[in-house]
Amino acid sequence: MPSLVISDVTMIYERPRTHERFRAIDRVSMTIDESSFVTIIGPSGCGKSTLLAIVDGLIAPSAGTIEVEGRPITAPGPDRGMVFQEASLLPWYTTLENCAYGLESQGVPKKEAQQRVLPLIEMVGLKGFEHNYPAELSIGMQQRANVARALAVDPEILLMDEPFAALDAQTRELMQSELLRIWDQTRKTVLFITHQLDEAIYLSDRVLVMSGRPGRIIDDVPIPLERPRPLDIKRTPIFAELEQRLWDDLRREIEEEVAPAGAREQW
Amino acid sequence: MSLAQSRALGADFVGAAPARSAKQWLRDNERKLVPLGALIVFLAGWQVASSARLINPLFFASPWAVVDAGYQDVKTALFWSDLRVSLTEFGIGYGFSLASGLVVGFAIGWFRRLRYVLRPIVDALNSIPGIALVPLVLIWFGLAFSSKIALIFLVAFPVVVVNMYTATTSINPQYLRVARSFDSSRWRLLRTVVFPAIAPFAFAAARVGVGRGVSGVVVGEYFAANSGLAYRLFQAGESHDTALVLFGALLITVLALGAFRLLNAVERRVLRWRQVQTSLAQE
Repeated sequence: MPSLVISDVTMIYERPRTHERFRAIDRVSMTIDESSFVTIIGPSGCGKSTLLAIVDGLIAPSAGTIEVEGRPITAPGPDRGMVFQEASLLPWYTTLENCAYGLESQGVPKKEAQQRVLPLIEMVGLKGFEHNYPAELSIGMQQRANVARALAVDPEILLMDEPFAALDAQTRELMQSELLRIWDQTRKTVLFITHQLDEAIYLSDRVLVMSGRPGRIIDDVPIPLERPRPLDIKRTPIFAELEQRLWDDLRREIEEEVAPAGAREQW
Repeated sequence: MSLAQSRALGADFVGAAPARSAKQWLRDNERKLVPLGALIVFLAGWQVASSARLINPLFFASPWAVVDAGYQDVKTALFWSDLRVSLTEFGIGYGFSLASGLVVGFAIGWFRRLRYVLRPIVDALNSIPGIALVPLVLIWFGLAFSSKIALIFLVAFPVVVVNMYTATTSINPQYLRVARSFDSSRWRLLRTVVFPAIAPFAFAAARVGVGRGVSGVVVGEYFAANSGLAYRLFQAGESHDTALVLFGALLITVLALGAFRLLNAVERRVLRWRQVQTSLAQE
């Protein structure tokens, strides 16, 4: 049974005062198998983050349904865990308290919750920093804690919204490799969003390309690379081919945004 | 690199701090020593100028005269009863303003429709200088004890409320999303995100409230009292006892500063996570 089925999801936004309506996402559908790592890429503002928020249950779609393991969903729940972009660890809690947050939200008593997340904190490489506050951790370390917090509630699906966007290039590479190492131990279903093509290919089993507004799926690229994947795999010819394919898809979309078809004739 | 990272590495560590010379100790403690030194020089200069009759003692009493006047005052029983009166006025007025201000300020920030109704009123109250409210307070409460409480409340309460509703409406939405994403109940959202987020602002509001509260006490005792520290101060002014006036002003200042320090100390203990942020910002 597939882990996640998104059917004809559409999102229409209404501007608060002018009441003008905009279609952000247009009939997006996808089927995601259990334990697969799927990435969505697309130009800025194409609705990727909105789609993720819909899957997490934070927003209700204008049309369409989301099913997790066959059950339709309408609100946030313990079956999905979200890893946000930077600055989402609560600054008034230590690493340990932050990671236990999700479990405590489910009603697990504090002591027990903290006991349960200790091995997770070690797994993401933050042993020794349990009692530090987020301000004392580098962004890379904060994101590790973010991942631990999401994993702590043992969700079926892990949703990751450009988690490495705020990292510098070197730390980013390292974190990609780390993420695969962590993922390998738990094999959750992952829906990942990013702008970076190499990141998408390196991490995933499958990459879905989304168009510019209104967002539609315009390509579905399987990634036939074997696992485990060393970082060097980014320098292989097959990797370059995949990157080229994705780039060709995206370039059209990005150029549409920068200079719509009509205007380009005049150049 | 972050504090955590530099702690983890050690390859660049050369050695423990060498023993410090007296000169080094002076340089290290500059921040406290320089102002202290300046103060001593200032007081000495002032005293010399007064003794040499360079300063008219009516306009500015010498430091020694101030100390002497203060010492004589403190020996009287009336001083202590006046002190008690002012402290009680402040304690009750400020305490009530702070408690209700924090609650109302949060409510105005959190409940949209309440905000639409109450915010204009609070903003208006916040703009009125305390003195303008005195005639109204006198009509309502006369010279009773409650008139001072009312005045303190009218000047301190709005400023606390404004601080709190501003804080409540500017919580980082990302933190709220985190709580919602884990399906936290409304109460859990408040307890784990909203209240910790606005706590630093509550302390800032408390500090500003102290200033306003002291002002309320002083204004109140000027217009509507026959006891209290500020009342004493004004009496000394009327009899041209400059030394006593200076002593009174100094005393009130010291008490207000004491309240600030107390608040800061409480904040340091309650908001331990802020120490980390601010100390890192200084690196």
